[in-house]
Amino acid sequence: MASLFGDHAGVAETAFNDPFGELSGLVNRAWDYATARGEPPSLWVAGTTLGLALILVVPGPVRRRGVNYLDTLVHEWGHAVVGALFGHAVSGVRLHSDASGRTMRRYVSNSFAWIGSQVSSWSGYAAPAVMGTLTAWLTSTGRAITALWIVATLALSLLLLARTVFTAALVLATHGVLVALLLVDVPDVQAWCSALIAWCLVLSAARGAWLVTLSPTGSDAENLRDETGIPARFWGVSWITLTAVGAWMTVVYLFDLAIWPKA
Amino acid sequence: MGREVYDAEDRSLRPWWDANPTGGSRPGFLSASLFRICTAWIMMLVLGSITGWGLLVCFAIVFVVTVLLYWFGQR
Repeated sequence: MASLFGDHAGVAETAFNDPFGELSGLVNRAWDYATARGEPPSLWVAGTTLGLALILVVPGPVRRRGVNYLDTLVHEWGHAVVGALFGHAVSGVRLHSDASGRTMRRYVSNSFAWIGSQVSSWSGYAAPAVMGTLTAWLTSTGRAITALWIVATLALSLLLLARTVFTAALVLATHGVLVALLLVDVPDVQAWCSALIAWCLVLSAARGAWLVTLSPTGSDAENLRDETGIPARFWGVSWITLTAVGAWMTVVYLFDLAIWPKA
Repeated sequence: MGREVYDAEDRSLRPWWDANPTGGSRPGFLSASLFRICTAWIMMLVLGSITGWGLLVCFAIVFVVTVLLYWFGQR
């Protein structure tokens, strides 16, 4: 595995002579480390992590809470990142102890930013499904480290927008666990954890899409209905469809069903 | 800049590096910028994983796309 920080003596000497060159070298090493490829997980890993994820996601007040927090974290990140991409000023994210959350953002009154606002609202329930599927694909192609690195960066980016102590503690704990997993030098641990995260995100996204379709009151679906005039149930069905496709792709990738193209 | 149509800015617990005691024009600018850098890094990793392209190519593509989107959003 590539070393992220390299030789300390070399770093000090180069930094003194050429700080920009050293920064470039550090970014290059980070890139090589984050995109390193290993072995894809076995069917045993895929099956066991699916079983664990089902235990964690299926109702049970204590067991489910941890996965709900991860789901909400990715949900709010989805709102924030799409809003930021469309030029909105994202001013804060709040995660609550009941696993709900809120993202605060402002935008100027042009049509592009308005469309961005609707896409941002829609992307909340889509984000866990998309991130779960992406994690599954990365894991299945031997890029579990890349997958964990992406989720760790996601948590770190939310720390910058955290506006409550609980939010900051939650994203910091998530980031810390993921960094620890990246640093652990035990064979396959990254693949196990990455596969588990993929299953948890996809399954919790499906549950969330189903629940919001049954009861859209006060949800993103209701906001989208108010903004666009399209019924809330339509948005719920769109999330269910997306999560169903994501779940199927996750099964194909992690169980290596060889009916879907893999890079 | 046009009228702000949705204002739910939350100034509670703003990090010390984003503190805005003098009422400057861009509160939260540093946090938002760092958030964009983290987002760009994630997009670069995803793009690099899908295409197999190198760091510089991924950076250039993500940079151009994000700047264009931001520009359209601010017009």
